[in-house]
Amino acid sequence: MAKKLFSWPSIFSSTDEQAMWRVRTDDDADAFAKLVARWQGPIQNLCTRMIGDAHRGEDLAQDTFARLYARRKNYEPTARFSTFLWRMALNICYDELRKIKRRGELSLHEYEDDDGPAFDPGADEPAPDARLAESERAETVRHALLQLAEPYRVVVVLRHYEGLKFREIGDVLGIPEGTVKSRMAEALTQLSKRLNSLLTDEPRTAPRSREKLLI
Amino acid sequence: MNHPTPEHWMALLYGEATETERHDLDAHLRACAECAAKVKTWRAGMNALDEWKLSQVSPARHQPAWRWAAAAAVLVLGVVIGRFSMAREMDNHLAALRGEIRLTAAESAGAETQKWLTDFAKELADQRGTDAASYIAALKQVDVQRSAEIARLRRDLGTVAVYADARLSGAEEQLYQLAGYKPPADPDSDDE
Repeated sequence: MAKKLFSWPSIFSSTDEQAMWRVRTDDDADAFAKLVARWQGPIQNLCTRMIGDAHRGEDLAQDTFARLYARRKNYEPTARFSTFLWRMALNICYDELRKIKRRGELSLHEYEDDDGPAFDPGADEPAPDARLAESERAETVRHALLQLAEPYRVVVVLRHYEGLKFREIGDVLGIPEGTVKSRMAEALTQLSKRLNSLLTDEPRTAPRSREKLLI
Repeated sequence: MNHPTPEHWMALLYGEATETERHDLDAHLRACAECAAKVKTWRAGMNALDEWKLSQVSPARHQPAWRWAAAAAVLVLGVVIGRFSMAREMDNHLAALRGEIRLTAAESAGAETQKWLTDFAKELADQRGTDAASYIAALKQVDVQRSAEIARLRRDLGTVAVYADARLSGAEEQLYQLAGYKPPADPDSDDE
């Protein structure tokens, strides 16, 4: 009972940096579980957007936390935990993308999301044709994003989807803020060209073959 | 006309421009068709990106991975604790595993301690016996050495005594000779 009184989020809850410090110095499993609970969603989304596959993204997120624990002694308290974690997750994504390229496999196959596009059961359920159209638009965007070169894609994912500030992205990637912004502008330009049909709301052409979708 | 850079426009589009910057950029946008077209393109790209929404991953797919992670965590010192989500069930599972490990470790430690003590006592007794034998042997050796040294000293003393006796005899004889010495008479003496 007493435990419940202090379980709600409050000013007493530790920061990520404090929790990570306890993980590093005391191998504190509870602190680590809290970090996982806080960051699992964002890291999984990042991996999914970078790889273009929800299931693989989930596995990569788990790999990220496994590596985070294994390398907990490398964490320096002077660094922001989020920067440390984003960077670690991105390195795992880059490794995975390299493997995919080596195997000649592409993540550009049809999106294997069992649940389809986001669906809020509390909202009014859209008509089947509306859901199909929504799913097709999502698929088009996923394809277009995966066609972007990695330096552009990572900026789009971190800024547009994960909501990091340009300065924070610069810290994570180790590049100047101005470079991040110019890459973002270039990425949006390329995306606009590729998504022209979607933007002009014209009927979609047939999905492009895999060969043409090579990154 | 000086056009703002794409960096400026990105700051505006993503809400990171300051109040002053926003005011200036908005003013430029109204006056410059070229920049307005660019910004329109970028905004369209941003809107399109919003079309790809991620659905929540179903918990059913999580379950086997977490169970596997729980078992592996015991073996690899928690490296895969990261696979543990906030699921309370898994927390309980982890706590139970920890309890089992502690219990097993305690039992194992008790048996180990008992064995260690027995071994230690045996080894101590053996060591004591060995030490006593070594001590006695060392004493005997010292005794033999002392006896040999005493015998050698006796011999040396005997030799010294013989030499001393011979010298004393020689000296005594010389003293007698000296005492009986008479100088020869002087032929030119006036006394006669």
